[in-house]
Formats: sequence, C-alpha cells, structure tokens
Amino acid sequence: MSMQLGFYFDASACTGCKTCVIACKDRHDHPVGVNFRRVMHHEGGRWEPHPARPGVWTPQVYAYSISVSCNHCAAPVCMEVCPAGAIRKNEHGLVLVDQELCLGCRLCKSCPYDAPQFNEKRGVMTLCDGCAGDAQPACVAACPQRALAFGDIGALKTKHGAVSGIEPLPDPRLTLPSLVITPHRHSPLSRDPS
Amino acid sequence: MTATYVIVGGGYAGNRAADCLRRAGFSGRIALVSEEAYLPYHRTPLSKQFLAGPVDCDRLLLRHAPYYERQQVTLHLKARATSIDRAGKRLRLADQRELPYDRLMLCLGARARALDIPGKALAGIHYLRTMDDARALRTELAACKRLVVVGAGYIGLELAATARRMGRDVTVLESEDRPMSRVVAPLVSEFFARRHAEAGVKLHCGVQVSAFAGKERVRAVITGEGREIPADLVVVGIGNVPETALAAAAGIECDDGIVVDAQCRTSDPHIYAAGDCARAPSVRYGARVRLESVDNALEQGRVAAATMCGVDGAQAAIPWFWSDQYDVKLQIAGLAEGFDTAVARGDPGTNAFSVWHLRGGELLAMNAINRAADFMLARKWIAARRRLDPERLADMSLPLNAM
Repeated sequence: MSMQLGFYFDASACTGCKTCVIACKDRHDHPVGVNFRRVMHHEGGRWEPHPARPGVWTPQVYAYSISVSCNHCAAPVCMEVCPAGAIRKNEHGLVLVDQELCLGCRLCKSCPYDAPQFNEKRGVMTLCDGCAGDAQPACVAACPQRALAFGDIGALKTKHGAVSGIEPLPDPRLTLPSLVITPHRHSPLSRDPS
Repeated sequence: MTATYVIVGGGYAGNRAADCLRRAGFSGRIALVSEEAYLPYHRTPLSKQFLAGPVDCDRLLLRHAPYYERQQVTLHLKARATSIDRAGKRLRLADQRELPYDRLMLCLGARARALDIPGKALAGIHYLRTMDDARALRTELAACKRLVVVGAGYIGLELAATARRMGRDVTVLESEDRPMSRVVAPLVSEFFARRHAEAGVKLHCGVQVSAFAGKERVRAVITGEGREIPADLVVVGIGNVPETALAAAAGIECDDGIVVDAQCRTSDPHIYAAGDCARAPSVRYGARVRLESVDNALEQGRVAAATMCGVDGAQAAIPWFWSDQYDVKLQIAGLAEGFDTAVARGDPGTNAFSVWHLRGGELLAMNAINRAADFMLARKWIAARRRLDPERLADMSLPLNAM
C-alpha cells in the first residue's frame, strides 16, 4: 500500500494563538485572504441542574480552538468535482493542484474543510502541499504548544488514536481525512451529516 | 434601510451569485429560493459516479451548511416560486409566502426535454436532471439488465459509460447521424462512437424513437422503422428546455431563454437572470447565445452579482465544457459556429488528440481528448483572437508554443 501522509492535531493543547497560520502564510508568501491553515474557535455548552440547589439550573460552557488545513483526504471531494482533472493525489497521498491545468472555476470550494484557497492574483486554486521539500511543514515546526505533527497517518493513528472529527469539523466519513485528533476534554464528535 | 436581494434557483448560478454578492461586500439580506429539498449541489456527477455506487448526497454539496450560516444567506428550500409582483417587488411562493425584494435574480435553470410519444408514462422511463431524478434512476439501474438511452449527448453518453462499467447491457439511440453532433467535431464524434463500441455499447445513429412498449412498465423501445429494442429501463436525454415560465408570466422579455444584456439585466431594471435560463450577448462571439454549461452558470452568476452591486463585471469570457466518459476527458473551449477549417492535431486513432476550429485563420474553438495542456492554451488563444497556420498546427513535430 502506498504512503498516506497526514496531520495530527492536539485540540487539548491548542491555545488558538494562530502561530501556525502565520508560519504557513510566511512560508508560502500568501496574499491577503489566502490561508492554507486556519484556526477556528468553537464554543458550546448546556444548562445543568445545580448539584446542591434543587430547581436551580446553571450554565456549563466550554470553548476550544481548532487548527485546520487540507487534510489530504482519502476520498477528496475537491478532486472528484474538478472539471479539469487538475487535482491529483501524489505518491505520498498529498492532494495537490496542478496550477497549469486549473481553470479557476472554484468548484473545489465544495471541500467541507474549505481547504482550497483561491489566489485572485494568479487566477488559480492553491492547496497545502505539506511544505514539500522541507523537513516538516512550517505550521508544525512553529507551533509553540507542539499541538501539530505531520507524517504517515497510519503511524500517527497508532500513536494518537482514531478520532478524526470533532465539532465543528464535518463528519469524517464524508471525505476520509488524513487527520487524527486528540479532542479537547469537552469536544463533541462531529455530527453525522445524515 | 437594509436591501434585500432574492435569488431564485439553487444551482451553480444562484450559489455563485450569493457567494459573489458577499465577496463584493454586499451586507444586506440575501435569500436563496430553491424548489429542491437539498442544499445547492453539483449536478455533473449525477450522470457519472453518483449512479454507480452509494455516494452520499452530502459529497455533492457546492457548499456545506455552515457556509450559508457564516455568509448569512437565508435558504428557502422546497420552496417553489409561483409569480412575481413586479410593481410591488414581491416574489410569491407556492406556500402563499411572499418575499419582498429590492433586486431579484432568476437562476431558474432548464428542464429535461420530454419525449412526447405513445407509452411515455410507463414505469421505468427516466429523465436525469435533479438529485431526486438521479436517486430514482440509481435504484432502478442497480436492478436493471437492459438499458436503452435515448439521445447521444453529454448526459446520454456519460450515463452509457457508467452503466457499461456496471455491467449493464446498454443501447444508445441517436436521431442525428453522429453522437454529440451539436457540440463536437465529426472526428471527436467518431472517436467516442468507437470508444463506446469498444466498451460494448450498441450505439445506433440516425434512429428516431416512435413509442415505448409495455403494459405498466416499459418492455421495449420502438423505433421509427418499427424495430423493437428490448429494455427494462429507459433514460431519455434529448436536451433541455429553459425554465422561463415565471419570467414570461411576469411580462419579462423571453426568447428561448430570459433575454438579458451583457450585465445579466432583464427587461425589468430590478430583475436579473443567469445560467441555463438566460440568453445573453457573448462579448467574444458577438451573437446572443444561451449556454447550458457549468462554466456559463458560474460566470453569469458572478456578472449578475457584480451588476447588482453596481459594478460592470462583464468580460469576454470563453465558454468551456467538459465530459468524462470511461478514461477519456473531453474538454471544449469556445464555440465553433461559423468555422471554415477544422484541424486535427495528433492521431484521432489514439486516446489523445485535439481538433481546432478556425475561421479565416482565427481560432474559434477547440475540442481536446485527454489533452488538458492544449485546452488551457486554446482558451488563452481564443480570448486573444490568435491566428494560426493550419499546416503548422497539424504538424506534431512542432510544439504548440512554437506556433
């Protein structure tokens, strides 16, 4: 079986500092609005009965951050809908855009992770390439919390478990992302789209 | 006061328009009205991989639900627009609701052209346009043995390729003398006829269909010559008819489509139209054309959104089309109408070649078979009105960038 590279993300460690976003932007010299990696913040909670005072309800709230980029999915929607055949998986399982063939139609924006990033100046779609040629991706190297890792997804899953979708990310059954997550202690798993 | 823009139609054009309105900085209300029960979705896979296996409908969504929440686009799904009160600027829906608008965009699409012949109401006769059509067809295709496809256009041939890959016995009947005759060069038609024959599809051209036979369910297709072709499933793909009834009833000018200018404005200054339903002047080709393509829907959605925001977004866009059949990617750039010379580049007997259409030496259009790089170059050259020497173009020893 060929190699499949992917990301590990530790939601229990991420502080939402966005160093990964800046490192990626700097490494690729992206224009305003183009971000291969993004950090989103998720909040939730519920009302619970007070343990000591009957009839009193108290809010239990939580918040956490998620750093997300292209997950180089095993079943990438972007590749399936590209009318030009410009999106392919390489020998390492990375989903890459051949910019010579990209028509700029943006149909690949149907990615549920919003991973493809359109470069208005060049008129083509761009996508995380795992910082090809570097020892490790800039986002991984820059994370002060060591909340990101990159490598063979099989090995990452062996080490970190099998969770690949927490709220508000989409249900991983949709695209089979090459992603493994250590959830934040309050993270609900992604909702079933059906 | 906050403006309200209402978009009718949840296809490529409507979805792109909503996206472009927000990207252009429009901060008012956007309502997207769609008859279908689904979030806007990709239609093009419906004749291909969607039919072959258990593809989740969510995999086809143009955008997922959080996107519409984030962009504050209010979706009205399963909502059919029934009339437009132009004086009061209100859109009426079938459930009696009325949506007031400041500007209205009609992205009504097209419907599959119906074959009005005896037996047309028998079970087992399908058309393919919507997700519901595809789901119903998928269920029957899984159990069918003999499929007859009426029409050898994009839909018919893509469906034939998918069904053959599923091991079905497939017959395609085409009334014209070659497949895809309205959209590709004869050499390309020949190529696809051969490719389908190799795959085991029985393709018959120059054949009229006169009736469907059967009691409750279709049993056979009867041709104009009285030949009976057994079938337990029939799909009719003989083109589309633009959806103009809503506009026409409101007194908006229609002529095989809703007539719009290059900025997608209809005859009503507050109403715009885009996509398969709109007939617009082509900046590049001069004539007024109605194009049924994803590219055109996306482009007109963008232009209409720009116009609604007070910007002239019209460009000399070069239309492009594509079709995936077996391992073949057909890409078409431009419109070939009016060409005087067709030049083949590469061997049409192989799986990779292209056909270039010129008029007075100027490149009008190009058909590429598994030649994506040539296609990209052709788009640029058509836009630039590049003149080409047919002899040099046909000479494969000369690279294209040396032309």
